[in-house]
Amino acid sequence: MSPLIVNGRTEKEILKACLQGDRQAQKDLFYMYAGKMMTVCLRYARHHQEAEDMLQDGFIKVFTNLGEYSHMGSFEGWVRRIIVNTAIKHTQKKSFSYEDSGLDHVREDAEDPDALTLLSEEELIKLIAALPDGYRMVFNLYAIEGYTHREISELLNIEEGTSRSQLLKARRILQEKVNALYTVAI
Amino acid sequence: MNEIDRIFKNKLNNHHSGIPEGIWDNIESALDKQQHRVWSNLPWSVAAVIAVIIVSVGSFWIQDLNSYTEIGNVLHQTSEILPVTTNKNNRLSSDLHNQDNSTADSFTGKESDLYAGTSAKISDITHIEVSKTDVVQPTVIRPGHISKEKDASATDFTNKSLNQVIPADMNSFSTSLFQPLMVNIETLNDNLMVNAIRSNLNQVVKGLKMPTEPFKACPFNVDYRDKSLDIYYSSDYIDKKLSDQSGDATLKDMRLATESPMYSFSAGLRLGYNVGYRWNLHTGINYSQINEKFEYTDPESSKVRIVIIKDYIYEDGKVVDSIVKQEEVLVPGSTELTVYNKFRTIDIPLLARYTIMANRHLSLSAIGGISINVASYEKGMIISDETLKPVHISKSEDDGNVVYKNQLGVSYYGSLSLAYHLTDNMDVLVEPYARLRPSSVTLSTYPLYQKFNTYGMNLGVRYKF
Repeated sequence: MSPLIVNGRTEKEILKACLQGDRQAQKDLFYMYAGKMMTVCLRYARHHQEAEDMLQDGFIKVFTNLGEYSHMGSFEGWVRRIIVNTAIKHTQKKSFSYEDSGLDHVREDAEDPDALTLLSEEELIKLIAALPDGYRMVFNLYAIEGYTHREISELLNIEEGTSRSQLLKARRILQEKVNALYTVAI
Repeated sequence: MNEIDRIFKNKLNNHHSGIPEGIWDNIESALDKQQHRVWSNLPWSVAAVIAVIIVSVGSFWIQDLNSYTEIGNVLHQTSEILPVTTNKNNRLSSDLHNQDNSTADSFTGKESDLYAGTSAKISDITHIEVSKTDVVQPTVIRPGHISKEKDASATDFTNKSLNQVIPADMNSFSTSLFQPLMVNIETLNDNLMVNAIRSNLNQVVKGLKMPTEPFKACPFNVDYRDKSLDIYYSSDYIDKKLSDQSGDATLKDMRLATESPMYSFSAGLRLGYNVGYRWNLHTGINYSQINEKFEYTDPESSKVRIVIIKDYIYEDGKVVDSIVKQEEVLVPGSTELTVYNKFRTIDIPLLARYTIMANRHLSLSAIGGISINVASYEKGMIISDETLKPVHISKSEDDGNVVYKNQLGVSYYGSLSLAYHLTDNMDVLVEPYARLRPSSVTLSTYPLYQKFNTYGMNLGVRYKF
């Protein structure tokens, strides 16, 4: 894969310049990843303004801690982790509480994923944003970021069972909303 | 993977959303502020060091200038007043003291000794000792303090002047200029000569402003001790700074509202070693303890109370049995939490002390350098950045939140040290100081920068040996 080149500079060169405080390089780096990271923030945030705050704080942390990037994994993955952690902290500061319910009452409904495929990315983001805080966090971390329930439980300081139940509830709510959308549409 | 998960992941994982306008400007200004914060803190920390260096170098330079002026005066005086003719046995002794040149600011010999010599017969005057180092102290030129050219000219001048006083066969003197000297005048020709010496030495003494009172311990006046041990204690004022990195001031406000300063102190030991004229190096160990009170009220706290209910069973009006039941009742209320926080640090100071001025009672020094933190411990509670509820900060606690660094790096130390000479080898110290810690004591993952600058007044004693 050919290296990503922005304004005649590779990612490595841009990173090096960023570490030396080159503001233009920092700007290039920001615009290189801001679009993708905005999507990440929108998935975790309740509304657009909150996502903007997350993106801003996340990138400030990226530039502040750039010296700690070890160049071992992909830079995008490193940025994404910072953005996700920032988003989690943002949401936790708003002092939501996780609904701690067992698995007993949760039934995994038969899914109709076909309807989902017809939705645009923006519509999917809106569906996620409408989830309760706890459900949204767990669904994002598990379904999209690929964290395990154990990791989620440590990250959010909740029980693994809670993480599982919230994931199932999130899926059910998403499915119901999609079905409702199509019912209305039909 | 669940089908719904897969669809969401495929569609959203690499999706680019529109970037809000102006967000880069906000980031840029935040980064500028951070950069400005670094620079704005730097002068405070560097200023102390620079001030100490300027004062030290300035004083040192002035001292050197004074030395050159005095060379001429004293030696001319000496050459005029001491047209001494001595026999071939006269000699100069250059090894009477292992004393550093810098320690000799004035006479150590007693004026009365000189007078006593003049009233005696020539035959009795067999051993008048005048500390040459003391008499011509300002003429003492130490290697390294002047340039080679100056050194050479000064040496020539000194040799020339002294050759008027001292017979030519005493060439050893010129080679021993850099060492403490003592003139042994073993024999003198006649009483007239003694009187001349007496009267002219008086002039020299006046010129050198020799103190008439007995000397007390002072780095410039009496016997030289190149090692010292300082023991000190200080009541400290702590300037705590919290600055927010995220733009959300909630945590900072809560912490400021719940934490209040209490009496803090520091104490330590410092070993000192004289490394040159007026210069001493110190190192040792410093312990500091910053105390704070953490007060938190949880308005929505509830307690679980256990209520024991005893039911009696009656039969014909008499109690025949009883049933004891235990129930848990949730009692709503508020909880007030008061915890005394302690931040302990152990540092190794690496300090340079320059003696600005000194007399027989007092000496004033400027001290500057760094302190290297070797360990820090903290105990107590603060507001958690994750839950905004109280959390332990002790690493040993199970629910302890790791917020503070184990090692805090380097801090800058600057002080003015006033020493009162209690005895020959004991000083009392009063030392206003500032210790500036340029880096945050919190981890980079913590959303607040926390810094401690310490200002205090060391009170202690210095034992010289």
